Amino acid sequence: MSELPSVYGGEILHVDLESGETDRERIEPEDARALLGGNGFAAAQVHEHVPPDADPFDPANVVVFAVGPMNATPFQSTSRGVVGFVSPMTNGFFDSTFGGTFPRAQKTTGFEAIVLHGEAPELSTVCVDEEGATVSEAEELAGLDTYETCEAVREREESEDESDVHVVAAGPAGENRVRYACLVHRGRDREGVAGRGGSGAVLGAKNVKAVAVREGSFEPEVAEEETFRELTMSRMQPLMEETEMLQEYGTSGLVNPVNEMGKLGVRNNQSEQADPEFAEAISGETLKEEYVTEDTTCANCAVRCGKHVSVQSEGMTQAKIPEFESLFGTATMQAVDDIKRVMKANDLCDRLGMDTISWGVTVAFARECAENGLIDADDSAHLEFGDADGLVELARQTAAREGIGDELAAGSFRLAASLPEKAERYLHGAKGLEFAAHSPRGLKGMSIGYATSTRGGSHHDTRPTLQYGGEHAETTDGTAEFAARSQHFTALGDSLTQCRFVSEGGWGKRIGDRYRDALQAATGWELTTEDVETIGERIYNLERLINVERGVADRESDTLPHRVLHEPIPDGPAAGMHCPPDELAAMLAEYYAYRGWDEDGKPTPETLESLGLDERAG
Amino acid sequence: MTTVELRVKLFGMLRSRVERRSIQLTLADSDPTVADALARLEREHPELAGELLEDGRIVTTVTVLRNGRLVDRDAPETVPLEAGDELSLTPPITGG
Repeated sequence: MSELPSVYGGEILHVDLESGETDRERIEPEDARALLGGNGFAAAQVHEHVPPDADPFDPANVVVFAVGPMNATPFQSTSRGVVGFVSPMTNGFFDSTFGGTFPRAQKTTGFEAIVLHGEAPELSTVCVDEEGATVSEAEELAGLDTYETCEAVREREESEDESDVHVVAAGPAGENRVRYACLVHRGRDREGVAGRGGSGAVLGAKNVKAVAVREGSFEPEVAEEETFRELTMSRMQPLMEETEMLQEYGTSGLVNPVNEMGKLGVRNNQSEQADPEFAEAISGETLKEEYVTEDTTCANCAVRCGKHVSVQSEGMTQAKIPEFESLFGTATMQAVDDIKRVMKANDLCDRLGMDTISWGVTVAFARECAENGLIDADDSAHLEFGDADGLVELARQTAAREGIGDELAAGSFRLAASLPEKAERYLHGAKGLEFAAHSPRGLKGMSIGYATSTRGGSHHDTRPTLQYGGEHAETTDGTAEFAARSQHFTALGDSLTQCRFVSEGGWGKRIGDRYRDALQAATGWELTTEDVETIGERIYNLERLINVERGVADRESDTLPHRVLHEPIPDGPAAGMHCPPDELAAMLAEYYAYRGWDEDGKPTPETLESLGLDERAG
Repeated sequence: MTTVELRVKLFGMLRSRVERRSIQLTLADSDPTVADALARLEREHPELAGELLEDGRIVTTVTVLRNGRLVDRDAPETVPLEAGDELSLTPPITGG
């Protein structure tokens, strides 16, 4: 292997939060070639530094901010960043991505990854520039919401230097270790949320309120500039045509279509189709007509899928529009169609720093438990389906860990463990993480995809997009391989740190020659398309390896909750669909065989060796 | 010859173009199909001309559901319609 391609900044920055000392690690060319960046780099850091028995809230856990090789190049929307850590929800490796301007600013510092180690002695901020990092005491930020924190830190840092500063922050939920607390980046134009898995809680456990990056001078240079530019230009028209819905409505435009298919969870997934007027009330069409005030965008993106909404009666101005997944979690799953209250609850989650999916599904779970008498009446205030005001109040209580909010803050799986056994029947998630909006009963690829996901109930491991188009939605034939290769696709995308919408819309929904051509032109590496897919496969196996070593990934944990296994969708266009245990078992056997894993779901030594992971596995 | 009445529900950009949530359609063809319905919509609503079909296939920027079930975009002429059917015309459905 020769030199590191010039698209890479070349170094990883390690920050010891206790001492404030920093250390620079040179990126080896063979590591870049093997893992690309983003979640590949994050997984390598987590595997190297976090002992398998370390609790996610232990100082031994790390938080990694990583970017991809083509960030800050003309390659469309490689403007995202990855946060990697061991999740307090799943106790396994987690990578959560976010957009905005922070990741591009990180790229200009020359640090492809920033790794936070240990625990600060007092509430602190970390400011990174191209020279290194400074850990500063920041008790004055205690209790501030995410937006206030981003603004306060930016103002403070920019007052010391003229160069622009970009901030990502935990809210009160992160400080209070709500297990699904997220991180929120508020730039000058749009928000970016590393929503899933609890990155905000881990940062909170480290006594870090916010991380800031000051723009530096590094500019990535691609190997074949003309070829690279032509490739990216050639994808603009297809990208804009395929993403028209996102340009107009953002992801909220998915509410009506998915509901029409009868694959949208309602009342904690008791059914999967809302009344059409209910769906209409919370739809992208309604939001655009009545509440959207402007489009917003990440760095280097023409799609502009972000939207701001204003709701006078709720005192909300230029708030972030609820995403489709959030409308599922906080509206249909709650049987709440009061869109103003739903937007208020979402805005609170953004400000307090909580994942709207895990929080919403946890509340819906608690509501069904209350409906069935499994939660004491004294604790049941606001736990009725349809209670819109209660929804807003529960958001506040959860972040503050008040009353029932303290139990909701643990997530649905831990809450279920504290309730009578019957409560497990109402869970809607995998491996400790609540499902996103894409039906594990109505989409067969999601059944096996969720069951084997390294992140649990994430829709960014196996992707639902092709399934909505008719592939592997209603058949198990070849679906195990489909799910595995989709996981390679997302692992590749998250190592490139390219926005999934742009990737799927402009470059292809599978790993194909276009990705190979772009990567080759950017890095100068000689690659086949199979080589590129192998990078995704390698990263996915590394993530699985971390989880195997942590004791959270095996045949027993590769499963689905009771309702998905045993209760068919009761009505609507997808009536009758579910994933019975024998169907899941058959798909798992196929999946393990395709992957080269043993019968217990563990990568074999031969598989690890073929992927070049044998030395990492020790 | 029998007639088939159906409701066409519009979502996303198609709704914006037609400025209506739904259209009632009466097809007098014998054994009408989804392809017939889409062709008829293009003829009767100039805003939809060229927006639904291309060489007999459903264009990639539109998803068509018949009673909530996905219609194969390569063969809409093979999907028969019955009285009371609902067609949903939505944007392409992505993964969120």
